[in-house]
Amino acid sequence: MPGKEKELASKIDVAYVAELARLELTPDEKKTFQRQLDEVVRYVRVLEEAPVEGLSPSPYPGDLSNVFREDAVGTTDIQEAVAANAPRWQNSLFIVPPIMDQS
Amino acid sequence: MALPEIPASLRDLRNLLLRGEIACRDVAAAFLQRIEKHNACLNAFVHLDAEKVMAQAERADERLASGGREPLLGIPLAIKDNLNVRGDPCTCASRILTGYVAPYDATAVARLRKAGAVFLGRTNMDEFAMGSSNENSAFGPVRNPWNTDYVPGGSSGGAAAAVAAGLAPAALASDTGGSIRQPAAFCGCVGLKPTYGRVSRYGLTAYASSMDQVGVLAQSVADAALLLEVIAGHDVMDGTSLREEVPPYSERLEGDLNGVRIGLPREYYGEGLDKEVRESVQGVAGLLAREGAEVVEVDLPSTRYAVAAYYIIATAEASANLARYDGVRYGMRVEGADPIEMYGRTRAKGFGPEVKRRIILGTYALSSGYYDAYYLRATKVRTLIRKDFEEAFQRCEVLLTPVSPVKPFRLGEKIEDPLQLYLCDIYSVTANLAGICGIAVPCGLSREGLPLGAQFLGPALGEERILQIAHIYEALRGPFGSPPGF
Repeated sequence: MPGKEKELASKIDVAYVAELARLELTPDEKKTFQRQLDEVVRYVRVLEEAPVEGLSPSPYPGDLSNVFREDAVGTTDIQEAVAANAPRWQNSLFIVPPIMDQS
Repeated sequence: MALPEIPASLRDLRNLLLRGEIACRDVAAAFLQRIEKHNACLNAFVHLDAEKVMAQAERADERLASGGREPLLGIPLAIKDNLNVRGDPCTCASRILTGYVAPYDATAVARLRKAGAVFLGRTNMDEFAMGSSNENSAFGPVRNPWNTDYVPGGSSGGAAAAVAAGLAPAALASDTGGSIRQPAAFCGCVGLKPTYGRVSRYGLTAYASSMDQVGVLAQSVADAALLLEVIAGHDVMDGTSLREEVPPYSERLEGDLNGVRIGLPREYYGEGLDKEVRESVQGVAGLLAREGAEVVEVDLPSTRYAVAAYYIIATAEASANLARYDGVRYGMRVEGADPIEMYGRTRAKGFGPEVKRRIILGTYALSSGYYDAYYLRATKVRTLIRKDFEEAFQRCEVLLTPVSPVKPFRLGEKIEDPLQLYLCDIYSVTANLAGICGIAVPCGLSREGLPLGAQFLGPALGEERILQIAHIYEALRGPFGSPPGF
């Protein structure tokens, strides 16, 4: 969407974004969040005034470098605990509803 | 059973234990009794297994008898409900983690365990550490022990209320935008947020990974220093963990203020700051100046963008981090015809309103076409904020600021207006954006009789200095006192 990078929006499409985030909202939630988040989105437009031209972004507060370790086989004793936490677990697998049409 | 009087400082408590004048099981029993008496009112603890606590205390007594001298042997500690303790629930005060039992210890927890600590229970918090009033908890709000009509602050409201009310001598918690310092200020205890990377985040449930930091709440600066000494240090399980050595913080607290330069950032004393908070923190500056410190004004010009940058970066990271709560591997599940329906329903039922709002805002900030305008720009503003602090710390050793622009407020007073609550984080989020360290210390009482807090900020790895100066201030201030009735 050209142009969008330059200017921050003043509204947010809550219903659409909630779908992207896999959140089912009730009609009441949609209404309340719409009002509250529109206010927040209008407020964060203050970022447009910040003199950031030419600056590098800081995704982290300090300088980070890659951390490596040996690619070695280890042991773990937490499988039972992991299984006990699973909503549905069978034959060492997490059970979920079918993803593809079974017909 | 008559239980012993527990000394206020961890060092005194340890000495009594070492001399055998008091047993670990009596100490644990005394705290359990206090929790039993006051928790129904404060709602500070959300999980507590008294038998397990006593079993740990018995083991600590055995260790002591056989010559064990670990630094925290037999000392009870509360743990915020977003840090994993093997075999304990860890729900982050969220319905979505109902029934979850931690399969492993967080690194900070493991270090406390190795040091001999006894874990008292899990403290209430804003759901997934999102909030600053502890009203966003699936377990209901925590109440401020100084006046139960008031909020304790958040997100570590349960930990702060527990420490302030003497239900625990200290607590392990996390601070992503002020979640240790602000409740410490509201409840009248000490709250330390270490430098990003100083304490391992392994086993801390992720909210905003580039700002989350494990720290402590305590009844004094010396206690906080002692605990930091135990939990700090490099950990291979956290890729952002710093390799620098850990100084013996608790042995380096003494000093004087001669020649110490303390900076007051102009932007932290401007519009929007409550008059009582201002006067109280200025009182701290005056006291330190009389003792020989040089107080100078400094500028942090990018402060006005900090709340906006914080709420874009934190929610963007949260939207990614919380994608894992989908009903597949742990926590609750609401069944659906297909996985997509299952995710949507599980998350609708499992998350509370503030978490939903932040996930939506973060998803929006990262969505196609908006990423550059929001997230990328916010991370550039973060560069500006880092530069501000770097320049300020050229001019002074530590900064002295309010923790929050507002006094503790009443339950329900601000919860309907998220933006107003976000704006109250202005003086605390900057330390997380820049990755520097900060400590909150009680410095007065409001007209209503609720605590007010001052914050000392230091550069990255400046813990030794902020602890020292906060400790000197604490001695000059004198005992802060306990909430009436506790």
